[in-house]
Amino acid sequence: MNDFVHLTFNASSDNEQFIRTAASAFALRLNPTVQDIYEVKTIVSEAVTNCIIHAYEENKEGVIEVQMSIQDDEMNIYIKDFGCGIDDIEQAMEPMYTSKPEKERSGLGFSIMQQFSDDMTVKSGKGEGTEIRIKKKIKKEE
Amino acid sequence: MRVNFELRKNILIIKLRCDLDHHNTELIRELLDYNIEKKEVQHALFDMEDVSFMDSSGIGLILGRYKKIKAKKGRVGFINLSDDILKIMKISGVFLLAKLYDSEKEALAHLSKGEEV
Ligand SMILES: Nc1ncnc2c1ncn2[C@@H]1O[C@H](COP(=O)(O)OP(=O)(O)OP(=O)(O)O)[C@@H](O)[C@H]1O
Ligand SMILES: [Mg+2]
Repeated sequence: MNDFVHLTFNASSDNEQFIRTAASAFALRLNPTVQDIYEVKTIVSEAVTNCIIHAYEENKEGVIEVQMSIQDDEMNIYIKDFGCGIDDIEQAMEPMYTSKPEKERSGLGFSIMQQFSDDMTVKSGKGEGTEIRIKKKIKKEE
Repeated sequence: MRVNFELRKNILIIKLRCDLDHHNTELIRELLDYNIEKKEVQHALFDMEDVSFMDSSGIGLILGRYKKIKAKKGRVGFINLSDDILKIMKISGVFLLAKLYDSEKEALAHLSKGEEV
């Protein structure tokens, strides 16, 4: 049995800090390097922020799920929303592509998540919400 | 306070003192612009010493303020970046537009001299 945590919360920006801190606290049992702690936090922050801004357009009634589990030295992170979904995933994942330039977004979230993880898959469709699955190997602090 | 401001001649020192995530950037954006748009301000120096977390929301905030300073024909500098913050900022490409300095003293001298990045 692998350890897991499931968190369900509403799409309020007031929840962002709690969720990314919870993710990094969960990773702590793997005795991670400070760099990996920072990367886990950033991955979760990017994904949750996207749910709030894009999926729900800042409507706090939206629901977000974050599931995390640990398998050996690997952390699995799953983030799901039930919002507007992504029409063209390939375009969305292009570095610098954003649908909200007027909100000072720069289209770097997916690039950062990809760079900080070992594997990322995005499942989405217009009107179908979005699911992101990330695998991250955690290096042990010496 | 999430931000402190200090004006040195025409250089606005902006000391950010919170996580630069979506939540906080929404809270401080207007305050930054209010101060940047004052007529005595031409350049901006971001002091990042008290920023322990930053993601793409922080990048958006910084790039947006860069544009405001640029419109005033000013320049932007940074001091006191931790390794983590440096890594995120490198991804953003912001160092093609603004310079990282080793100390406040060096930054103030360089920004006021009107040298290019
Ligand atoms: N959960 C989501 N639901 C719907 N659309 C999304 C979601 N996540 C991302 N997108 C779409 O993918 C695009 C790219 O996302 P990405 O995080 O890379 O950039 P951004 O959020 O626009 O900007 P930044 O992350 O730099 O602030 C978004 O502009 C949006 O159109
Ligand atoms: Mg994003």
